[in-house]
Amino acid sequence: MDINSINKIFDMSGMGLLVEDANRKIKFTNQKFVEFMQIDSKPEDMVGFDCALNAKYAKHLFADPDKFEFDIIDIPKKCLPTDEIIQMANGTYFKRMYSAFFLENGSYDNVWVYQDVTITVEKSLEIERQKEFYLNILDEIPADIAIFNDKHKYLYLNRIAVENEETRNWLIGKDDFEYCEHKNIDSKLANLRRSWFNEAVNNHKPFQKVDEVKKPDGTIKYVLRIFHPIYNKQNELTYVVGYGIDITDQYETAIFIENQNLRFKKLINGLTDGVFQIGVDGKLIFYNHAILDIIKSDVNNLLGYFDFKTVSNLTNKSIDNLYKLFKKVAANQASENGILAFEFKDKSIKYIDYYFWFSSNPVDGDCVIGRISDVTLQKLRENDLKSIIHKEKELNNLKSHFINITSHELRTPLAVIMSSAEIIDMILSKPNLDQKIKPENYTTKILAEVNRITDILNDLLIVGQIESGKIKFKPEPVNIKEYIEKIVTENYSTYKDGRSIDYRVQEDGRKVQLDKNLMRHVILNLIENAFKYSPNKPAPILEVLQTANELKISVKDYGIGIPKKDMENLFQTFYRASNVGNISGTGVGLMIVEHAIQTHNGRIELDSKVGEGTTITTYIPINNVNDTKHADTKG
Amino acid sequence: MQTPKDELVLVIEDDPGIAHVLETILNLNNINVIVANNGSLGLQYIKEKKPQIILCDIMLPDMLGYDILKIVKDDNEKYKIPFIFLTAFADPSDVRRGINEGADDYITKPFTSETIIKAIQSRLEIQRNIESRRISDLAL
Repeated sequence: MDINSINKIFDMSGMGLLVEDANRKIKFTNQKFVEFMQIDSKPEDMVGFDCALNAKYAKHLFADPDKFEFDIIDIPKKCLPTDEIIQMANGTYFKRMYSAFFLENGSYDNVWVYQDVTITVEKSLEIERQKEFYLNILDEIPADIAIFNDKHKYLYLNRIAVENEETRNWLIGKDDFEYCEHKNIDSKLANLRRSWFNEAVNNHKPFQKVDEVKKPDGTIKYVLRIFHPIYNKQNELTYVVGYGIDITDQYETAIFIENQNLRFKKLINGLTDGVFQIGVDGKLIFYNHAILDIIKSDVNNLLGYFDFKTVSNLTNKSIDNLYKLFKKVAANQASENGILAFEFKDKSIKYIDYYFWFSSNPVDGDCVIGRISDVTLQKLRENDLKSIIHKEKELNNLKSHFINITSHELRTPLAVIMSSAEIIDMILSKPNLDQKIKPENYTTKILAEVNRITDILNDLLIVGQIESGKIKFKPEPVNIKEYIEKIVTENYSTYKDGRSIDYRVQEDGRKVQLDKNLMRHVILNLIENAFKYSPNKPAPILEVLQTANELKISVKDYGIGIPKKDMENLFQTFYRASNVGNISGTGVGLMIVEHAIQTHNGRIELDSKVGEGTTITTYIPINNVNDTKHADTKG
Repeated sequence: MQTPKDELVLVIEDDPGIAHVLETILNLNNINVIVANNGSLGLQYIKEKKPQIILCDIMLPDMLGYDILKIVKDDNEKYKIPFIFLTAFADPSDVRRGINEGADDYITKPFTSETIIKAIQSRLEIQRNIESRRISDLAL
């Protein structure tokens, strides 16, 4: 190939070529070269010119003219190939290659090749600038950033990750184990990070963990470390980006909140009061454990569905009442409190002290907050107390009644006794008195009135015994006919107003198991009442009938009768019917009757009409007869 | 002091024991007695027998002693018959009520014969004085 052809090839390739001999005389150059050097001559006209001189003329074209001039003189002296980029004064770039070309005669030629690389250089400079830009950014990001290859070796570290530039550069291509060894620290750290790296790589997804880092001052810094594996299109791991963010502040806040939350939960769950928050849609937002106990729930997690019908063992009625309250509180945006009775399906009842109030906040919206406490025990105690107080009051009433009655009811017989005694005294002191006035009439009176007082006192005594539960039941076999006749003749052969009781006893001869003393009170009280409340009326009738199973004792009178409204309370201590008027009485008789009959397992029937009369009938079962003789004959 | 036999004491008392001993005590003290065992009989006797003094129980089977007192007072506004309650109601409030209703005396059971006799005699004495003054007034 001749020189012209070579020249053309160089022109085509855009390269400038200059060949000079060892004495720096131009032997050859091409069109591109003269263009590059802005020489106003043809290439062939340049042959024989001095190259060093030429450099002087052309040096102003270069950004560093002196260096250019120096290099042009200096490089051929060394005869070593060079390849460098030169910046021109107009901002373009040339690549300049030099090589000595040795000739057969032992001499050599200097060959210079110039190539316009402005575009390439600018591109690479741009890339460099961009790189610097991003590296600056990476250095400025307040996070540790490291890029690893697939073997967990560092490809890049930013300044936050390792501040010392020397160490940072040293670490490239190395891993944490080498780092630990280099720094002479425990490889525990390296192991830990390797395990996180592997987690990310093996699971093909970012792995994150909070890393506790002890700072030189001894304080702990919390770093959120994330290993983010990056895969290429072929799903091959290309590198792993690791970054760590100092979250000490956030972490400490989170721990603080978590602790607070824990404390709050412990506190709220330790309460025996139930606490809850329920949305206006009826869904439970929050509750504590006590709620579950109070509503007897079998469900552990109520959140989201506060349907009491399915989660509690409350009756529908109680649930409806509860919902009505919620709705009322929500509708009025107010509060409600009081005591509710919770009825359960197992028929048990709990008394609940409640306080519900409306609340609205940005997180939960409109809701009702409630506090409920089981006050069943207190309620029962309160009831007990009330009943004790009631009983005390009753006893107190009983006491004052007792005092009133003794003072009133005993005064009349005492007056008779006193006067009778005085009369006897007068008779004895004045022997010449009217013979009709006989002392014995008055001693009889005294005895009768003493009996009357004794009866009243006995009644009161029995009441006292009954009220204090001290009365004793002493049943014994009793012959009914004898027993009744004795009581009636001893006490009521003639009543004080002259009437006599009409009585019939029909029995089968079997003895009946009775407490004679208690039954005496029953019969005397019934007869006494029958006379007392039927003044100026036919005498009462006592009927005693012994049947196979029962002893029936019935006293009928034609007296004032008992108003319906009084019948219910008639057997209570000191209670007297509203129509007794001026008829005196203690109000304890029927109470004693009822108690005595109940003690005998019997029952009482009351039949009365105001203005017509009263019949009181008692029935005592006689299957408890202890009389073996009769039991045998019967059997 | 003896009470002339023509002065009559009406005892209104339902308890036969009390009525009887009162009758005896008054008789022994030469006082004429008539006994009514209920309120309406008592009122009838006041009208028919014109007693000079009334001893009356409060609790009577058909009415209260207060009712009888009111009737007696209304009938004898100017020259009333002395009216003495004789009762087992011994509470001070009962006594006050009896006096407020217009009774001349209030005797609680039990009583001594002396109390009864003195009460009756002093009332009769006052009554006799009033009567004689009335007659002398008329004479004037």
